[in-house]
Amino acid sequence: MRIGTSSFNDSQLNAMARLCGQIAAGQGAISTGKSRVSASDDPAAAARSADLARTQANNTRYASGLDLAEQRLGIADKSLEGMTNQLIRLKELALQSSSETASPADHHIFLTEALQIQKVMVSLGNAQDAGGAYLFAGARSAAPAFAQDATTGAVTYQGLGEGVPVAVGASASIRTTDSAPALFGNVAGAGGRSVFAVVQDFITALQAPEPAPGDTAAIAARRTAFSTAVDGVGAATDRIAAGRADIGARLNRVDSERSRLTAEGEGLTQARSTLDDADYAATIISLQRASTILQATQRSFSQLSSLSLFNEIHG
Amino acid sequence: MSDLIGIAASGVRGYRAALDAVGENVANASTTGYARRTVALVGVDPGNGGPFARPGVTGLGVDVAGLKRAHDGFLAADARGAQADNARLSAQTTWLGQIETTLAAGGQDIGAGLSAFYNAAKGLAAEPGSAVARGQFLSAADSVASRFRAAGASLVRTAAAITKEVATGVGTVNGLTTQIATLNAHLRRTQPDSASSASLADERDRVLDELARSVAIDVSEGDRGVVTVRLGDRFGATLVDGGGAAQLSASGDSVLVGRARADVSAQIGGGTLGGALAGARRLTTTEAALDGIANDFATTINAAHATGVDLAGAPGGALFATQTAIIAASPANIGAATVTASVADGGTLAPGGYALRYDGASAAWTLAHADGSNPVSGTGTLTLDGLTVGLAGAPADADNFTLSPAAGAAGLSIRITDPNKVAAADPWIAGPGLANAGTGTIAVTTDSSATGLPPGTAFRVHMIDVANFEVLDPASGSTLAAAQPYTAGASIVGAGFRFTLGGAPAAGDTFDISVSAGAGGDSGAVDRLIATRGAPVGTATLEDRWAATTNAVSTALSDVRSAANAATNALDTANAARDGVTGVSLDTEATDLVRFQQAYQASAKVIQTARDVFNQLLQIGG
Repeated sequence: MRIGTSSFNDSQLNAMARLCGQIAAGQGAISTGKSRVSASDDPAAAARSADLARTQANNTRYASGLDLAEQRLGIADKSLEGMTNQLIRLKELALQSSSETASPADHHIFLTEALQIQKVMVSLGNAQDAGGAYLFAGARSAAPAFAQDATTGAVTYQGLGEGVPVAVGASASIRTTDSAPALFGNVAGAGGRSVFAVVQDFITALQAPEPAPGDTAAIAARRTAFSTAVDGVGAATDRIAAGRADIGARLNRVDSERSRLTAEGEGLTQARSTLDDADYAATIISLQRASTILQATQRSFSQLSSLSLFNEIHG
Repeated sequence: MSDLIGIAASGVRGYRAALDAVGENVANASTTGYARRTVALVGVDPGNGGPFARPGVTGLGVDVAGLKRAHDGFLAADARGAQADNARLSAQTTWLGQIETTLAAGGQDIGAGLSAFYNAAKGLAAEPGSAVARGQFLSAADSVASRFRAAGASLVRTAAAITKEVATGVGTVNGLTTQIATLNAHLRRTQPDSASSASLADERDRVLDELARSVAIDVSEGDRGVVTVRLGDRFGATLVDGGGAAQLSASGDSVLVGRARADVSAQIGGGTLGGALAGARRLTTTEAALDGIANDFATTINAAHATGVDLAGAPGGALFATQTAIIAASPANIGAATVTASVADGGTLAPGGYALRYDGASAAWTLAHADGSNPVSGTGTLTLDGLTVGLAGAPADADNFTLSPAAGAAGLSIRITDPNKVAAADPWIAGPGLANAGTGTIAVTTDSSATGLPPGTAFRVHMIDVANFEVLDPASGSTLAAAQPYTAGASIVGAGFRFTLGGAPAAGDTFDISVSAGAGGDSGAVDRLIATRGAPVGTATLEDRWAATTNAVSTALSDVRSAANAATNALDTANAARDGVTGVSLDTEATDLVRFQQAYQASAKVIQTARDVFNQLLQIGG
């Protein structure tokens, strides 16, 4: 076949332009570290990568959820630990109160301390997370869970309902708050009364006027009240211990969910890197090959184009 | 002997012409559209058998039969077809690339925005009372709305650019077909096989090639090289025939032909014009998909949001506005007025848009439809068709603005800006009292039609005994509903709500029901909003529909790019095949040059020999 001079030049030019394009693409991949400039360079990989990116974004959200859960459960646990310590002291006071050797003056001292313990219990019951939400107030987390009347000292629960669970996976969530009824209510061994009612009962017993010496009925009633308080405070301690065990189990779950997220995150990062990142070895080799071919094409073109029969025709 | 001189002279003339042709070929070796020319030399018939036949005598030399253009109609058509394919695919690559870039938005795409929005909603669900979580939720909502708007506006700009390209392409085609019609007319008047006919044919082929870059054509050549050009294939609309050129016109993204303005868009399959039309089709599909996602997103989110109440207990309403009026200030404005616009839910805006003008004499603004109808005048705030325009600053006389309605992706905007107004909570919350000794539970659901109890904001269910309960007012203790038997799981009608009791409540246990206003810890509405993420809207979830939309564009672009690579190769091959026939090879010309030069010299030598022979004869006579 006869090759026109002009079309020979054109086809050589096109071939060199194509090689330059390949080299530019390879250079782009190396300098950006990305295997694709746009999704259309590999639509299937881009779609999978976008899918993985969505999962990664979700996991970032779940990781913050786990942080929040850990923070809330940790604060609740500390708060319950504080309550346990207060109740242990209160039980000692109840035991000492019920002792026959306890004098009215002792009872007065015990009352002062018991009132102090009640205040501490209320303040522990009004624990807040870092965002200011009251942990034991259920859905009414904007206001303190407990209020104490300044004059009577009566403690009332102001919360309502249950708090919201925190999503930590596509279909997994962790309950991060417990309402006061769920945590402090219905103490088994204290007639279904709440922890705060048990404390109040002991205080009421201490506040009762000292029975006159020899009023055996009143003395017996008082002793019964103190021994009920000893049992009640013990049962309340158990109730809170049960709550702490439940919170501890959820903290463990936070840890295991976090390990799962971390492992999954590594897998996702790896998978995205495989999809998105330039394969340096392969890119450099293909770049090398393209530039070698380009050089060869340029040399051979300059030699071939200088070949013309006209050069050989001499006068 | 004079015959010999005549024969040799004809040789000199013939080879002179052949050498001229070689010179012409060499000179035009790089001229676009130039077809190699050769001189056809034929031996002159001595007239054997005729009245002047002189048997036994050889011919009368050589004659120049004409100038032949090296041309192969089939290969030329092939090359034009490849040209049209290549130009179409290259144009399509450009347009699809623009659409893809718009959708990718440098990684800030709508898909990532949607995921971020749903994840911010999850953050809000975890901390419904937190000002930070509410702020983040609104910021994510604003971000996804602005991404929709940006993509929508960008697609509208690309659509405008394509429409412009179609108009330009039609203009180019008209210019070229007019040239071809003129060349047809010249060719009809020109002597065939002459240098001027070859030049005209070269020019005609060059223009046809150029036309093929704009649109795929079918060319049939008639007498004297007059061509008939049709759109697409031999059944297509006629663009050029012996009678002249038919003018194309553009109407939006449609191409019409002739005075009858018949729509021939479907026949335009190749060239930059075909590429632009293919780009326009893809753009229309993408815009429709994007608008569909934007509308469905706004509808589902607004529906979920409307079921909730904000921090103060007010009903949620719409989170997103689905219509926007885009404000454009006239460049001639000299005042410092600022204009804001908002569109009420369900407002029907005039498709033509609105004009807003300030009149200095009456010191009032006038808002009207673009055609001047339905005017309303005043200051501060003007309302027309549900469009509310806020006016501030110091306007100057005759300052004016235009407001164009935008819906779909381009019209999506956030309606709520105060984080406290985000309706995350259910209207009602309920729970057991702290002093409850039983295991009873309560669940409350919103039912705006429920009127079983007198209206109120707080109710207390009190267990008279394990089998009966009453409803009290928690503040006063007065009875709101008399004793009724307890049935676990029965739905009981309240006031704006229904509630269900369950478990084993003890006598004296209480359950409180209250409006959620101020509670800050309920996420009922935002939970429903999050649930819409996994529920298909139409064919798939919104995020998946977005992924499918972008993937469709990327896949189409990738396919077009591969096809474009193949088309470039096909074009190279077709061009090489055509140039093998029509192109000038300098080596061939050099060979011809030597050959014709030798023949020319030989013919000259023959003349000299004839003269010598004649002289010899004269000497014999003398």
